[in-house]
Amino acid sequence: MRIDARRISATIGGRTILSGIDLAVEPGKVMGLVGPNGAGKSTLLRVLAGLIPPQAGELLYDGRPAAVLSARERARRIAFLTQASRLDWPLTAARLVSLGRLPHRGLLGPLDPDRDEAAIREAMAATDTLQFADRPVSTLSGGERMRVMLARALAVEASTFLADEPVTALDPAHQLQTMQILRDIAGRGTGVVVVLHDLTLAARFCDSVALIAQGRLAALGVPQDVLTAAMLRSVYGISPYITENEGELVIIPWR
Amino acid sequence: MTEASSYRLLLAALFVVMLATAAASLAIGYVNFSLSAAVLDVLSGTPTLGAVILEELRLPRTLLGLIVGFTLGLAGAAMQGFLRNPLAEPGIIGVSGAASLGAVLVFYFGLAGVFSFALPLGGIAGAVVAGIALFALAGSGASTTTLILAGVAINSLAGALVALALNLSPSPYAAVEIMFWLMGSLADRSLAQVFLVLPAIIIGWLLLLVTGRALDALSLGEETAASLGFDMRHLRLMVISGTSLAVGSSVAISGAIGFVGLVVPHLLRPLVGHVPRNLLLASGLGGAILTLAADIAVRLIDTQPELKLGVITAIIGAPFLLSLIWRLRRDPA
Repeated sequence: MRIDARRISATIGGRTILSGIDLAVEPGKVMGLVGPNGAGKSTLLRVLAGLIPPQAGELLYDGRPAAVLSARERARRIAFLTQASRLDWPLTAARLVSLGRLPHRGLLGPLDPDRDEAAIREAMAATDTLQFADRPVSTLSGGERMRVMLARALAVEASTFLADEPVTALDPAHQLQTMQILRDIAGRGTGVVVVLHDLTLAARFCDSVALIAQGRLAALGVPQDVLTAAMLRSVYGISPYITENEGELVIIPWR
Repeated sequence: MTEASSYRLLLAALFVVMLATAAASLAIGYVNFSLSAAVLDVLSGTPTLGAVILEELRLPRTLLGLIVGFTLGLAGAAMQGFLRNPLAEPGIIGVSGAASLGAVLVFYFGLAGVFSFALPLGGIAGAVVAGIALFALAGSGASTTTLILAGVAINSLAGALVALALNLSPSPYAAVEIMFWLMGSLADRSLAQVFLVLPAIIIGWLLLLVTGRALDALSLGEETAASLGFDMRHLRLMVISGTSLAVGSSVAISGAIGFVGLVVPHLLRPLVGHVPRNLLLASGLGGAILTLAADIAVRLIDTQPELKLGVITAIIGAPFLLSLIWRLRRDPA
């Protein structure tokens, strides 16, 4: 699904978090959201997901006002992965992942049990979590739990995937694996938006990067144009070390 | 064995145990008689002593035990899922306190003996007032925490007014009558009283049972539940109105019976793999079993006057609650 945000503003508790954001989430593309803590990245992701209404501006899903879509239909089209990986009951990993199929469940039971089963299995295989299937999630490590949560969001099989810092708690191998999963689902036509703090991952795995600072879009474009030393200095106040490896950008915060 | 089939097996087992407990509840009492002969007499319309006891005393008591127990178990499971807290119980939003107050006011103004529906109607009136206040609050977008605080306030106010009614009670007998009623019991209720509250209770059950999917989604937090298509305001309204109707009406008939709604969901949760949706029906059946069993115990323990059901459930439930708190202290997960 295509999402268009036009001059979006958002306020929470009277405080302006976002103002005048213009961007488009396109099918088959990965967009990285980067910016300092508190810049409004998570809020932007929630607005795009339809979870908080924009104060001003227009939000369009496939060219039509977002409000036209029922909550259930929206839930089938947009998968949303939050930063918080809290869980109140010690569900097993397999049961947790199956919660991603709730938008496809009728009042009296699953609408298509075989498809649910396949989606859950596939999502767990992709995230390397099948071996945890029967373990209570409360016994998993933070990173393992994050991958189970990722599998939960993948199991929705939505045409848009919004993820808030999905790699933060992961070891380097699983960071690369997770970014590759996002690339893979984009390859199958899913529009992906991912909040990242690792600038190298953003540069390597995203088709475009939106740099958010103080609730505004500081820059939007291909990674080479956005993640420049000058831009990073003005937004983060850092001097990065930027180089290339195997033809891809490497950006390391240095001073 | 797959998850779905083990869940169905659990439900079937609970259902069979519930039927057996109900049969025992019909058969066991102060007067010994042949249950099968009495059933035949009732069916053939022969007014033997057994038939009268069965129809007038045992059957209302057993039906009420099933209904009140199912309500408490179901509402407890829904409330724990809704608040994501194993220590929640259906009374937490204040509806049972308000229903008790309504019934106490009927006693206080001496209306209890005027007509047989006065007590349940008073209880229902109390529950309706509290339910409407909570419903308005939830409808205006109040958070779950605000609703609990409102419940605490309603409970305190209802408790204070009950104490006031006792304090000013016209005679010691009236005060004792109120105290006994507050302890909760299934004894001496008529079938007509049961049928008076049954429609509201069934609507409440349905409202609570259809929240299953939303409660499952809520185990991932409110935001993720919303992203899965479940509107939190809608869920709050369903839980509030379902609990008000079912629990409020139950309390109006039986008085407040504590701990069933707390203990049963907690005992059954591991057996349904901690899935909130699957806990609803299982906990309802378990609540009916526990309530009927406790009511049988009340009849078997030979005291004068008869022990009140709420006393027995509290004596079993309170130590259980302590052990639960003790376990939670050690194991925060």
